[in-house]
Amino acid sequence: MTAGSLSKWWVVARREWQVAFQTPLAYVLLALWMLISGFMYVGLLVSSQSSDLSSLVQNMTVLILFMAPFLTMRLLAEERRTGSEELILTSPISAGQWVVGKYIGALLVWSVFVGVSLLFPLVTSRLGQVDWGVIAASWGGLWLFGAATLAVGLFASSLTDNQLIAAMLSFVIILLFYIASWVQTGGWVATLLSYIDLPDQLTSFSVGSVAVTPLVFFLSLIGGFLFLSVRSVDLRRWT
Amino acid sequence: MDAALEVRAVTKRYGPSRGVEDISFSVRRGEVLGLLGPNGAGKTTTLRCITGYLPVTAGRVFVEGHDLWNHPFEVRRRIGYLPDNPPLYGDMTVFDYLLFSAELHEVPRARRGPRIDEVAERLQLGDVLGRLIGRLSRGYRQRVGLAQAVLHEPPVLICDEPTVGLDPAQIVEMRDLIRSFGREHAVVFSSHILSEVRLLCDEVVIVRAGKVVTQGAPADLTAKLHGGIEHWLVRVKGPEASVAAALRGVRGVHAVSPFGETTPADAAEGVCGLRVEAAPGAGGGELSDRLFDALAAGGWRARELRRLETSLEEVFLELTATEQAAKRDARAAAPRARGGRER
Repeated sequence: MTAGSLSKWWVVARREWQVAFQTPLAYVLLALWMLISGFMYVGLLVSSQSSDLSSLVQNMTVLILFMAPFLTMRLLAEERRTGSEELILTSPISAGQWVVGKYIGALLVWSVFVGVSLLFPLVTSRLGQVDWGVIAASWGGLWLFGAATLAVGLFASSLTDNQLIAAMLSFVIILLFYIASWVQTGGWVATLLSYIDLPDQLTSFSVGSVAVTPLVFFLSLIGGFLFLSVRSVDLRRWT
Repeated sequence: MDAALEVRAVTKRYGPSRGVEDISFSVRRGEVLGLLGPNGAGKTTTLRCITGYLPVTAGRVFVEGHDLWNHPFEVRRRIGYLPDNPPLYGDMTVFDYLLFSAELHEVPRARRGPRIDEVAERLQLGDVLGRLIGRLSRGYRQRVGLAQAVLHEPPVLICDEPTVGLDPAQIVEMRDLIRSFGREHAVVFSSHILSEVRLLCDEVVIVRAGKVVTQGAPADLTAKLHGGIEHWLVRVKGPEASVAAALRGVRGVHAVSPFGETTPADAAEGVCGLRVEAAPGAGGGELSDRLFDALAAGGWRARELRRLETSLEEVFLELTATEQAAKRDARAAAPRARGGRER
């Protein structure tokens, strides 16, 4: 209706962003993220003496598995626990705007993580040749990968008012995506499972090609879990 | 449509025995309606249905003519809501939180700053605007919650047990605030404290076990509930039995019974307290004359002779007692663990 209603999700996203950097959580996670991925980076640099960072990106996705749940566990579970969702759900804002706002807020924080980790290719470029095209594709893939895990985490957070349960739940769901292709039964099940294997989908990005299949895969994963989160927030009030 | 808020036959069922059944009332701007009932009577559920936090099972809610069911946003824009637990973010400053609420409630950009200042001044939040909400005391938090509810100048203001958990000074402040907001908004608030409701409300809805027991203006309710029977307290120095017998003989008196416990001081002096029930319209001045004469005739000296005004209080206590008795019966009849969640 007014310009105000269009940007409601932004009001929510901005609050998430503010709060993330007003409390220690984001800083602590960012420090751990850089510490561990920095360790991986140095290890890679020393052992391979190469400017190829594709294996670093692969390793960082494992780190995401552990970090994403912490970035998202609060999002909806905390609002439910403290009762602040009662303000939101009685304000002129739809569940969709709220959930999307929450997601965008988390995505912004995640973007900072990815942005800061661009330090590694920057350092490498000082030491040797770096193909910035490949870097753009692989870091873009990393970002997208994280974005998908955040959507999963947001959904997990919508299911409970307990942050610990939300974190464990998102960890388990993401882990299932990681190991999906381990089931080698053959037939359509295995084909299907290999499609939803997260690291596999990322492989093409890390060598510098942006293929349509993984792009569609990640985007539909995000869309699907956002949809589920909205349904979950809506439905809970009816039960 | 002159009522700002109209609640029509709202029913909310969840589980076999919980929820509220067929609640109706309407409130105009400048009026305060009190939802009175013991804990667990369905006050919070009713208010949540009005604000749209819980979907109703049946019935309608209108705010300034907008139907909650068909136009939820039109209704939400016009309601300010302070839930029983103020919906605050402990990790935000008061100012940031109020700004956030103002944006959520579509206060125009140019109005946000001035509105926050206005409300902060009225609720005496000026010196905590920069503090984190999580570090504020209960009284402040409650006021921040109220500030959030009135920021967008809604025609309807809903407060769920706004005075619970406050200290006596804060309770008085909160009541003053509700009264003053009641002059501009249509206010609905819930309480289990009768004196509070009587103090603030133009209309009272008494609920018990999810049902409306009675509703109306506080003064009318008193008359309606007891069929207008008057209650008098007589404290007199003399033997209880003979005094009671003498008073029963007075014209217009229905019944005489001991008035509660006798205090040790009264007992030592031989003073007894009696409750006298008189027929409706027995006549205030006249009846007290007759009571007094009856005492004088027996040679007993009256210490106190006054009309009791507390029948609404008594009714409320009676209701609470019956409900508790019913609960005990229910528990005895069907001993089983309570399942399900609060929401």
